[in-house]
Amino acid sequence: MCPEKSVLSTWFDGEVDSKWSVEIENHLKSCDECRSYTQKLEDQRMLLQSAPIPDFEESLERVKSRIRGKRTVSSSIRFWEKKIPLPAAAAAAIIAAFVTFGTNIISDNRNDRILMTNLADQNYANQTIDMPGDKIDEIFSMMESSLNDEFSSNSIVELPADFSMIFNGDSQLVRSAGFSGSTSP
Amino acid sequence: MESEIDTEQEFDEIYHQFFPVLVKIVYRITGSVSVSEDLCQEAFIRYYERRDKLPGGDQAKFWLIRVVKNLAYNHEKRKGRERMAYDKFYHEPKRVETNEGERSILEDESKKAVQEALLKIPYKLRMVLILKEYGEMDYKDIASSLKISEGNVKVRVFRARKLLSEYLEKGEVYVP
Repeated sequence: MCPEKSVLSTWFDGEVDSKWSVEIENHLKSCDECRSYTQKLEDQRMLLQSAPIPDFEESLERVKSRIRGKRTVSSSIRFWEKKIPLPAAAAAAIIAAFVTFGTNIISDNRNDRILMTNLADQNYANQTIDMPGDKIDEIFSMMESSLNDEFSSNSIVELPADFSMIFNGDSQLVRSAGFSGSTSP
Repeated sequence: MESEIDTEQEFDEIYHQFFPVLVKIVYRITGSVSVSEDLCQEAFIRYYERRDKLPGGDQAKFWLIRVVKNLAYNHEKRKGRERMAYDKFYHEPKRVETNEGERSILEDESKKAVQEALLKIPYKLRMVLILKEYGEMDYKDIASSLKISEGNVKVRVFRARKLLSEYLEKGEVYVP
């Protein structure tokens, strides 16, 4: 009695127990029909193997570099995720600072603030600075960190002259602003 | 930081070990180079993001295959409609010339036609046959990567082969 074709298909993949495998092989010697079926499976396998496949060598590198690109994105996301648990006072200070910048950009030019344009390209001495001297370095160190990636060198940053950092707890704010991504304040 | 570098290296190893296999499998499933690249990229990014929690070695291969299977399936559903229209337009049975001079051209044609015939096989059956014939996997590996039983693998391989030979014998494809 002939084995079922599905069994022959399984045998063809070498997935039949050795005991049954011997019986099937013996059967194949004497049965033309089953032999022609397994030959058909063999032909089909050859045909599948001969089907052309594009060369994916280039893809290997291309996709790898795209994944590297994604890695940079996800690491910068982590950078921001780390920044979120800032001390509340510092976070409030940063938000307050940016809100103030925004309002000042919209509002009319007033004299009671400092104006810094193109910080990366121009000398600070040429800028209009009207602020107590002892706070300037702290302002700059905070600005420097925002000049890296998130802000273009053409950003215009306006600060009010009466911007009190003590009010916001300045030492904590400076440490937050100088955050390098490696340590948490 | 050292552990970070270690996992980077591990990821590169996994990538170089499995990308060539995976992209070929996906190509057989989808029949498109760009889709294969995109799906594999997505699968490896997912692997990369979870690399700390995921196993290495063969288990990584199974995991990637599982992800790619789902991605390809979603892609298939999305494209299914368009492809049906395309098939109807371009793949009506063609008249086969048997002139000796055209034999080698026809052989090339037939090799392309194999891919087309593969694409006609229902997704679940096709996936299993492709893993068997192109993924260098046995039934046990296929079963664990697709999370189906070995008996199920056996049945699907058999049915996929049956359908494939039917498609190839219909005269739509020239078999040398």
